[in-house]
Amino acid sequence: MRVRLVDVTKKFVSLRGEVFAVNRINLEIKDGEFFVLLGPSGGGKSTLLNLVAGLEKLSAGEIWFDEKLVNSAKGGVFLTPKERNVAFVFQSYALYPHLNVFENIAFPLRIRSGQKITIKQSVEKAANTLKISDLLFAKPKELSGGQRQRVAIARAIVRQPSLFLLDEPLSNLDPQLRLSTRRELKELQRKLGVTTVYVTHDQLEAISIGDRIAIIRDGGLVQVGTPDELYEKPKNPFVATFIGAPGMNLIETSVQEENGIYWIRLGNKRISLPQNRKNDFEKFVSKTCILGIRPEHIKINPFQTEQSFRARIKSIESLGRDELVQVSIDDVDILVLTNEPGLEKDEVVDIEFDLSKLQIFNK
Amino acid sequence: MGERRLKSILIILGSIFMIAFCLMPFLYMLIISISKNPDFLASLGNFQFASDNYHGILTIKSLHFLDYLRNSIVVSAVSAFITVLIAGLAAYAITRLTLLGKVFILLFVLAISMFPQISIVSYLYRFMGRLNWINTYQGLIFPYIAWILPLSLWILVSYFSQIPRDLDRAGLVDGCSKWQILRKIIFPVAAPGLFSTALLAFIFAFNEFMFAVMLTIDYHSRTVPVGIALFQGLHGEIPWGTIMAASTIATVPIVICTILFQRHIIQGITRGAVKG
Repeated sequence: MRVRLVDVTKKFVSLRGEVFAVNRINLEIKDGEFFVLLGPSGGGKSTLLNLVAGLEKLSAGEIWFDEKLVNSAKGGVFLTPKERNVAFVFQSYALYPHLNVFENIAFPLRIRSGQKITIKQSVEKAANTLKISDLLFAKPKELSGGQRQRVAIARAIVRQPSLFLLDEPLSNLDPQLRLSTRRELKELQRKLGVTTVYVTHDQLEAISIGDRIAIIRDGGLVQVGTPDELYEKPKNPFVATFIGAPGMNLIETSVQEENGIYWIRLGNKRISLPQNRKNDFEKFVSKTCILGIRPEHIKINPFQTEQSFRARIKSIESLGRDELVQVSIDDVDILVLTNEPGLEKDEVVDIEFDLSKLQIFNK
Repeated sequence: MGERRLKSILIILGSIFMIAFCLMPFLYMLIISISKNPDFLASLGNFQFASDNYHGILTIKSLHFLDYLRNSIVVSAVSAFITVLIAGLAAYAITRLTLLGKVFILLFVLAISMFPQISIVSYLYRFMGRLNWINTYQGLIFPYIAWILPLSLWILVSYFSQIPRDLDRAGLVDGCSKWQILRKIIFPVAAPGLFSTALLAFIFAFNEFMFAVMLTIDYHSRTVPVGIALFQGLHGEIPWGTIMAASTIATVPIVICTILFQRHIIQGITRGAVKG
């Protein structure tokens, strides 16, 4: 199912005044897509998910499921979650503590007053899919976090929803379990082919699981794209630093033109920018701008070249396979990801940017 | 090692003292009720066992003890049931709806319950008189509900507010109506809280004296506390044996309830202290 958000706005009125949790968001989620809403905490992504689910009503705008209008603030249309046939997995799992696993999974079917035999079959099928068949008669409090999570997902898939919504479902799991569950979740989604919207604040999770990602900040949409697009062509410094671990280095500088060649200056050295990217840099000439370069796109050179900068190593942090090195070019601190052996603190090295990956943003 | 031992001895001694201190009156009550020559302040030296007192209150029709007991149980049970029902609905509304000034509602309710009972007794008497409800069950049940409701509401509000909102939302997504959420999720999850509140309400109503003494006339609606207080011997003497036997029997329903529901009550009281 395709989901279309048109000017979606949600404001909360409290004693302190109006707060726009979600402000004029336009989005289209394709059929069968694994779509991730990514952003810092308190950015409005969970509210957006609640709006899609029908747990909250829009203040303005419209939400369409395929050709069906499910919520319109102006038109007074509001379909309940039941009528929208959505399934929701909560961060807290929200299992019913008084019911055992079987009854938890069967609950949505019983509410819809399904046939007893088909309920049993459906529950067993869902339990099999999530490998929890042996837990059917346990109460939620007897289960581990990972098991509870599986039950919550089983409850969500048991009635074949047309839209699958997950609100930070992995954030209560320990890191190893998170990795394996992430993979399984992705597989499950592929198998079921149900359009899925997934909320997370973890950019690694988003990149590894999402077909497309929308970055939400302060209630607004910052950028939508595939993980690669966000990584390679971030729209602004916020996305640049939010995506990738560690985020992109941002350096304030200006572009100069001399004899048709563009230059940037850093410290007391300047380097020329590649001719084939002239169009990217043209509009920043003689203006203050922000250069972005990812730590993994900086090389530590053994030799000085025309295009390299002199830098002093301020600190070295081991990440296992690689090392995260903080260097400074005069006053500018830059992070470099490298596997160069034998680096030491306070050593002076030459670093070189991969200029084909250089990003440039308005200040 | 010595210190720890001393500590545990002190704890045990302290506990014994506390238990003895609390249970002494009950013990005394029990002993008087089964002694042959019941006398309130008599020494227990010449104690002789006899079941006359129990036999008396259970068989002598003119004492009406069994009527009192029945009245008490019916009035208390109905009051407790209705109170919990109303308080449950109200607590659900207060914890789940976005109402402006929720706190004021709760404080207002609390303020009402702060008036001393005696301050409304005369008005209540006239009111019930007009309704012709003096000496009827409903004449007691309605004031009891009003009297116990604020406390029940406060207990249930604090209980319901500990039930995660995500459960409501999960219910909504799973296709429940608001009523179904209440009936199939909130009430079952809050069962220990509802039980303990109901029991508390029952005990309150069961022990209530002032309204009962004002609003009842005879055994048709008189409750146990009033009945016991108004027991009189044939010649105006105070029949201690009968009183004590009646008091002992009157504690039985509450003790039974407490034992039956003790697991729920303890859960209900300690819930929220430790996250499940």
